[in-house]
Amino acid sequence: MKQPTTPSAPRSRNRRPLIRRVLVRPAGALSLGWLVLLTVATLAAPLLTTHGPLDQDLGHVLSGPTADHLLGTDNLGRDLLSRLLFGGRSTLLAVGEALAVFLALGVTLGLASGFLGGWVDWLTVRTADLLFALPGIIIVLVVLSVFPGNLHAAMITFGVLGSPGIIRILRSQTLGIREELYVAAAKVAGLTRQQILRRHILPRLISTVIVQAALFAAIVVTIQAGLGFLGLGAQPPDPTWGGLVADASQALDRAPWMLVPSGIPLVLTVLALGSLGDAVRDAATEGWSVSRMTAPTDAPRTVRDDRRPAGTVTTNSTRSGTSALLSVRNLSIDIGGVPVVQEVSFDIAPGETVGVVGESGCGKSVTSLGILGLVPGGGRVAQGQVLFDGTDLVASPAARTQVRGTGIAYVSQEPMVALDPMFTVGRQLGEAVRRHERCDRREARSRVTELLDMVNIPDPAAVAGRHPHQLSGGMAQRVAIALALAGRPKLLIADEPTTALDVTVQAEILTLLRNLQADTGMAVLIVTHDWGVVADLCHRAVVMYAGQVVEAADVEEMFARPLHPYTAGLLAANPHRAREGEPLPTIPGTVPAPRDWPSGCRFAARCELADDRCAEPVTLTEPAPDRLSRCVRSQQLLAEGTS
Amino acid sequence: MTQPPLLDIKDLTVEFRQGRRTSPLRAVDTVSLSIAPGETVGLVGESGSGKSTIGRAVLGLNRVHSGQVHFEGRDVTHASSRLRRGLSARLQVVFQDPYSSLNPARTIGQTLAEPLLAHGKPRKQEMRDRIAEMLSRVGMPADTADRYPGQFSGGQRQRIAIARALMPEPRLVICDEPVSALDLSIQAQVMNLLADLQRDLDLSYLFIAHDLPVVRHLSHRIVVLYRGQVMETGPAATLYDDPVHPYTRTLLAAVPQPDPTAQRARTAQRGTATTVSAPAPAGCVFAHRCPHAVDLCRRERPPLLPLPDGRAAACHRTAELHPHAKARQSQPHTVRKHS
Amino acid sequence: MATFRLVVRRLLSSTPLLFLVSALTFVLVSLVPGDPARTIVGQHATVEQYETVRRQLGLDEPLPVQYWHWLVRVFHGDLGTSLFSGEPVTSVLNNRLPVSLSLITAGTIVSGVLGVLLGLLSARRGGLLVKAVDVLALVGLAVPAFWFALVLIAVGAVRLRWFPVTGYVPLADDPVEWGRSLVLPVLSLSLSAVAIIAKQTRDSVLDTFGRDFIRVMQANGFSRRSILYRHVLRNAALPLVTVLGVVLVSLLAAAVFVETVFAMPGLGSLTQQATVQHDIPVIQGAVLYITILVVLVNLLVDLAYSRLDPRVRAA
Repeated sequence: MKQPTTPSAPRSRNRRPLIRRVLVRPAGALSLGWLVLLTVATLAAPLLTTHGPLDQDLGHVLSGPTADHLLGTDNLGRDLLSRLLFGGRSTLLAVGEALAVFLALGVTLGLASGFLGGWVDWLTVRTADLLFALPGIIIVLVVLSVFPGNLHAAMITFGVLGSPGIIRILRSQTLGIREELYVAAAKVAGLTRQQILRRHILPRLISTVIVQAALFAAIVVTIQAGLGFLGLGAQPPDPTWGGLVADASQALDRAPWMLVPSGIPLVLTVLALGSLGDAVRDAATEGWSVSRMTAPTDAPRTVRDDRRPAGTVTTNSTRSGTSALLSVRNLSIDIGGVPVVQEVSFDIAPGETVGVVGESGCGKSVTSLGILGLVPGGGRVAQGQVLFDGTDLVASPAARTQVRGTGIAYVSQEPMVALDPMFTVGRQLGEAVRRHERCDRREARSRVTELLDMVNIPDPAAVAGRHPHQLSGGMAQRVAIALALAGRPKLLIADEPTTALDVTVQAEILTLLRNLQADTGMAVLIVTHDWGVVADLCHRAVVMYAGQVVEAADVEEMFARPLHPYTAGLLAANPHRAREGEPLPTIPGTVPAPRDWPSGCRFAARCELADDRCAEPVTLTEPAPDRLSRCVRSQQLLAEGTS
Repeated sequence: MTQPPLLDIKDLTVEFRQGRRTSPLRAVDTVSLSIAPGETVGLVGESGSGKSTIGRAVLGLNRVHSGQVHFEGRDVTHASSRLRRGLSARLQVVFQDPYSSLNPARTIGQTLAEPLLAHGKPRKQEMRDRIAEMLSRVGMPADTADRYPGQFSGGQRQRIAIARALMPEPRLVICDEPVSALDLSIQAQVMNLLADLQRDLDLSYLFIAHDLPVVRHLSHRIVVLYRGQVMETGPAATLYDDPVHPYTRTLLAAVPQPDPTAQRARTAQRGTATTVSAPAPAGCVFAHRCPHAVDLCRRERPPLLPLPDGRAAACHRTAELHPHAKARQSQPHTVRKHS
Repeated sequence: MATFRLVVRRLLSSTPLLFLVSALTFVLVSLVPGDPARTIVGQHATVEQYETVRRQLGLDEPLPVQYWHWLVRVFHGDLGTSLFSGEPVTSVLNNRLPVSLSLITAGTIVSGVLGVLLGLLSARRGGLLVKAVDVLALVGLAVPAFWFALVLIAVGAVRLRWFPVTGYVPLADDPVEWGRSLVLPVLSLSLSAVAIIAKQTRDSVLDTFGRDFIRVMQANGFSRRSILYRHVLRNAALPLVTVLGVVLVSLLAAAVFVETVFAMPGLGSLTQQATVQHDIPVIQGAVLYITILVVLVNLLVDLAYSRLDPRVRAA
């Protein structure tokens, strides 16, 4: 859910039709080009060659390419180009027949199965599963033994045997789409089944159908050639691609060249169909939904000034100074070349709890992972320092690896996916324990029990034997915390540790974190969007907006007198503080995406107090002792707040 | 209430089959509630409480096992799809996930036109005007109609989803966690929009959410659910400020308040217990977590009994525990908005 | 115990496949134009002779009854006699089975090892290897096994003379020659399988690397070695097992071509010959054998899956 913003949002580009999106890809254009060329050449074969496919030129038997025979001749002196082109006709026909059956069965049954459900679904799935397991070629051989040389029967059979693949795919896709909320909304809107099918389901399946058809056609081309090769297709002397390969196999020692004209066009055709499928798949997913992470925002677009001198931020830290356990200095992080966190500085003292607060897309999570050197999405720390116990983790990869788990530990947001589903809780905790301290298996086991005890898990021995999928969300988060505690860290980074949990479970986890801190004396950095969590747990809070720190202060001070309009607005928008019957105070607009950050104050566009000064870059200042604010009016806000 | 209720749910039960051998899961268990015209009823509960299932059952998206749903006086419990089509003009929905609720392959204009399709095709110009009107009403720029959902942020999409629900001028909108997926500042914008629309269009809402303060701000009455059953119901302010049922109290105590001093005082009293999810016992479903549970609670399911002040609670010990609750009423206590 | 129950359940659930396939073959065979009884007695036989043979063959009975009789005979290990050689079908098939099994087992091992190694390298090194695996996947799909086999023969046997052109030497006769006779067939059989397995390995390893729990482990100081070899591999193995099953079945199909090209006396080439010769009993028997092999492969996949995935194990 809370992935960091990847700044590759394609902006309001109107959707082009699928065919154009396929054609702009080199692979798509090349494949389609080859297939069109081949079809035309095959159909226009009599116009393109002077030799008939059966004309024998006994003076030039098994020749290589010559001016007269561009691709050479076979053992009867027949022109290979001509035989190739005329042979292509039976391939086209075979693909057409098999594809027609494949699509007719596949699309109808796949859709019916997914959309109607019930016994239709049951029967279709059972049959499809049974047939899917079979190697189709074997059944085709049976058919051919019964109807000798009847390629039509073979291809129709192959179409039937191939359809379970597309049936299964279309069914599961239809099921998925049927669960989409817009389909529910369409039902509520009173649309009939046909309307829903036509408007919402079919359009989303088209690209899948094309992809599957292309892949199946590729297989049919191979199989048809294979049957020709085995002498089961059209009978000699009629040309087929497979027959050409069979002819080549007879002359392997005398004319190995024949393998080239007989095989390469076949390979290219299958290759073209395969990569056409890939291109359609890519093109279809490209245009559709811009993912959650890259959804654009409606902030005004301003040219961003990258030339701003680095280090303009005052970094005389709050309170802790040199005694800080963790000291983040001017940390900037890029993802995909776009800065998503800029010159962030803050300190955490031993035993202190600091909250990093802000809305999504402000860079909170990226900052917390950046401290550990684990920037997601291929990002990197562009500049700055992360001083932990005096060592710069940015400069020293060795120290960074060293510190993970023992110095700094990490708890993530989604407890259900934070543990390896394949191993028991005990195995995973045991591995963490043995990684961090020298001990034998028995000592490790007792330490695991101790850890599970620490996080208030009622029956540690039983829980240690369970797999993650057997745990509830709250229990899984406790285990994740136990895992983080295994290395006796001095600092615990918790990224929205309670967001995915129910409120009563959240209360338990918050209490647990507070008690653990009291017992172990570790510091906690908690990333959250919830002011209630900040108030519950934190001594100090750092507010982030659009990749920058905009305010930092003691929690009591901040709640009482916010010195940045964003902090004030965010606090006021909280429904806890709402007044009966009055609208909630709001901040207009949304957080700008990293590409849209203005050169001046990044909050100015949404700020009631903004004036001309806000068009210039605003630095972080210290309007009062131990308080930081990135606002030109911080002094004024301070005065108003205290008056 | 003097007016007949717009929506009236009686003993609604919804079950889900889970495989062939195990007994079905009862997601909603004999729930009754009603909504008057112009009223907002908040439905609160944690995950697994069945709150969304109730909304979906009203909309005909989940099959009702037993009980009745009346809308505008008509029984719509097992409404045919034709009857549903007729209802769709007056009963609409806004879902939680603004990403899944708009088809990424259709323009906003096409999506907004959808609710009108079921009622004959209006003329093109008429449709375009209506769409423009609705978009401006929810605060979206006019050129929105020609764009695709991928070009909008979560908050904007939720505005569009609201506009879609309002297209056919409904009387009741089921709001299924409409602000849960939104950031704080956007959440406030959308909550205000919902409140404004209710005032201007005389709408009723069934407001489903897990966040009590949000529900409290928008609702006139609140229904608290736990494991598919109604624990307590009452006027929003009373229920919020003076909860009777132990579960409501647990829920309220768990919500951290954005006030460091007050919150610290509250946490000082909090225990360190770990919730173990026990299978629903024969008695009260909350008994295994309830600090006040006695033997009776584990044996017998308590009925939802009305209290003198317009509330109702499903607790055997209301009579014993309620005087204690009354004692706390000395706090400033606002009168309910709607009567 | 749980494994035993799984095996039983799986075998039971695959009986429909056996029935479906055998019934299908039977119905198809009944459609054969021409009359087997007439073929046997010849054009000049009397009506009585003809009727006797018809009765002997059971052809005067309705189709379902004929099928039932056929099934009963199958359960007694009697698959009839080859129309071509007159040998019992069972012994024909049993003679051929070891050849196909050697080929397919070797093909599976080679493609499994090569594919997984290539996929892992591609996932770890990235860069050019990623592209290489993508290209290989396309080529593997595009190059037909029978043509590739001919290319291998042209190069490896005709030109370089490293390997025999065709033929198969049984393991018992000469292990070295057995190995040499298998090299080219196995290579041609494995090309597409290596491609599919390499791509699947690469994709699922990369996919696993992107999952939350890996980041949690990195952040909490788990060693790189353990993350890769214990956690990533174990998770990536799941989709791989499914793909391996599909690949194995596709090897069964490809064996038809490869055995024919290399003139190996296996089940695949037998099916091809029987098709050309319209030797119906042999076809029926071969299809039955191959279907049983498919069922066994699927059983193996299921067992491996339940070994690997605790979520399935518990269910």
